[in-house]
Amino acid sequence: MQLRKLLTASAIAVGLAAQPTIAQDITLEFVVWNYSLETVQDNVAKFEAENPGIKVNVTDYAWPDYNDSLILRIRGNTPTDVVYGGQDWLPAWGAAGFIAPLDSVAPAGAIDELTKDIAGFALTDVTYDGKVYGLPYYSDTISFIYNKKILEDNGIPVPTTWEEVTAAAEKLKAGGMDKPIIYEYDQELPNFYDAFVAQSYGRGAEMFDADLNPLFADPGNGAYKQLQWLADAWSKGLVQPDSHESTIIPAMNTGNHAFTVVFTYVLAALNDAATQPLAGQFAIAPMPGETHSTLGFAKSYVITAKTAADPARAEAAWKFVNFMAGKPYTVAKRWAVEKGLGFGQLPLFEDQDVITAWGKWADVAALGKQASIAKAGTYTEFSSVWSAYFRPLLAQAMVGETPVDEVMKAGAQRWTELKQQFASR
Amino acid sequence: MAGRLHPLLTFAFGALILLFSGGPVLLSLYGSLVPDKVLLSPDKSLFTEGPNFDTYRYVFTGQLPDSYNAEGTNRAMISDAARQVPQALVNSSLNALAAMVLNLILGAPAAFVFARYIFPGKKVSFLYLILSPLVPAVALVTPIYMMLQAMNLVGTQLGIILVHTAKALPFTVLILSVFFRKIPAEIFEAAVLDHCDRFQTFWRVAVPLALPSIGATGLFAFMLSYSEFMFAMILSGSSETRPASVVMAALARNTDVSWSLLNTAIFIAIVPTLVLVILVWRFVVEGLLSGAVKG
Repeated sequence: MQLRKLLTASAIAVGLAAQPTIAQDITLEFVVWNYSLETVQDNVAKFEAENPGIKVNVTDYAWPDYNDSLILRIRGNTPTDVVYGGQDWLPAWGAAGFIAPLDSVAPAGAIDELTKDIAGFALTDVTYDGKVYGLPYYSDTISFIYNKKILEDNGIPVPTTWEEVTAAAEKLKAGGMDKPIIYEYDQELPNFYDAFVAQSYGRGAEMFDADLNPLFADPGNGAYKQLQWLADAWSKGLVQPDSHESTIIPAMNTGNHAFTVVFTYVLAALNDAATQPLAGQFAIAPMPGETHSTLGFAKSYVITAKTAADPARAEAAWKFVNFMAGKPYTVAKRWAVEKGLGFGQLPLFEDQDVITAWGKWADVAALGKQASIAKAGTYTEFSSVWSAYFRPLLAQAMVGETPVDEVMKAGAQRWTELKQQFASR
Repeated sequence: MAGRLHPLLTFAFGALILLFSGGPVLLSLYGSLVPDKVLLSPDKSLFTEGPNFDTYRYVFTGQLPDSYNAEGTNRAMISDAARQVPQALVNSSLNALAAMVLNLILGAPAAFVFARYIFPGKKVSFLYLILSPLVPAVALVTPIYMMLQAMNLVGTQLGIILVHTAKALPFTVLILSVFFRKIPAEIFEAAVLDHCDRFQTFWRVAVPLALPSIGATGLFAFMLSYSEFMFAMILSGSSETRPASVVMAALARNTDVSWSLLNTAIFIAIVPTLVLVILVWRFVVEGLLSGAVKG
């Protein structure tokens, strides 16, 4: 009897061991910066409900510490599958082998199909070395913003060139407005350089050629002209420097300034009826200049190289990224409608829910047009190092401490040096 | 008296100190009690509009402030990071309490041994211990992260507690060894005559005599842990383990937070800290000073 029991138990044990492996739950590690975590978690919950067997664990870091924390995390081999990526970090992450091209995890043709809908600047921002590494989570452009009421009250048409901006500002100054232009002036902020590039793009400038040689030191280049324009505007007392966009919002709402150049999301805050006394008076105009182009940027969902190398995790990670940023763009639309976040998926500009939500603070058609002609910045492994060098020079030129020519030549020389150094690494 | 300050000057100095210490607290209280629209308007104020507790309600319940439900509002500025503040305060308190207890359990015996006994390598080990805080914390971030990752402690409160304990331990040993050295040697000799072994001498004689100083040193370790940011930031992966220092940094440095909400979070975060400081500061100072003049 004992022997029979033992044999039966052994047979059951052998039988169980011989069963095919039951698919186990996969838990993806999703790393984000801590913006609207409740919405992130809710999106994750919806994904999990639609994809039984895949769980997603969200880890977040503060925005200013995000890149450093993430690099430490990846270098420390902390399990990490999908992360928020930034256009300025992507080249360095790609070169270091931290992240994987999406076509290595997505079904054939899926990426090509999705990229057709992505705005040009956003697609450039998620591309490194010719391969698409991310799908847009959030995209935005830098806008020329003006106070409609001030211009109407003073009979000033919306300026279309920088020379018209000068004329309008001089007229307002003559009428008693001390500093008609308010400008985010902090050499420590990457925005400071981005805003300058956006204005230069408005003039049709190219900062670098296809081989990444600097073009901006040429006096005929739009960037050179724009820096000269800024220095002139400063010397005429037309510009009020302000250290941060968050303080430009209340300053513009005093009615003491008519123009500014900031990220488009600032327009939402400027026209926020809950907080701003002059809400509704602010609008965007095409970036002054010949082409009206501007700078756009994209933050994205990116898959780590380690995850891409594991077929099961790669499949789960792709499903997750596709849910968050793929068609029918439900999550991107949710961010736009509920939080006012910009997007890189152009069809959303024609979505009625988006138009209704954004129409409260912006001309959605104008934003869509701006997004369609916006250009990406130039990001390399060394661009953050160069930007940190160039921003103080820009700041000096604007206030007349250093001649524009000297600044542009020094910036071009430093760029060339860094390019050579990084080429030989 | 010739050296006495003029009462007006004393008042001016006092007012200045009050302005710089109490002013920000009062400003954050004011900012938390009015919506942004009132805060940013030159024509409106708390006194004309009355206090509004919507942001407090949001932090504790998640219910959006009424002003954010109005037509044409931008909800991007209502950061839910503010809702992490209550949990973060609990996390910070637990971390600091654990770091304090561990510091005393490990640091007090070590300090006693350094103060009362001679052993090979005493000088070198003591110097190593007290000079180690001179290494910039930022240089230790990567190795400590790697070490804790290997121990599977990244993203856990235990990881933060261990690092905070290690950071405060040199100070605990240094301060307590000074106290133990000040206790007259005759007392320990008497204990030995009464057949106390080393541990009994420490536990039954040294600890009771140094109790105020031990308490003060423990509170010092508590405060170091409570306010530490860098390691807490890289080691806490989610809101369940995140301490107040990290949440406050996120709120203060992220641009997606309304002024009113930021002020509310600041006020909620500093009130328990202020209460703690008011309650224990005198005790800390007295404890530390008692060691300085004893002997």
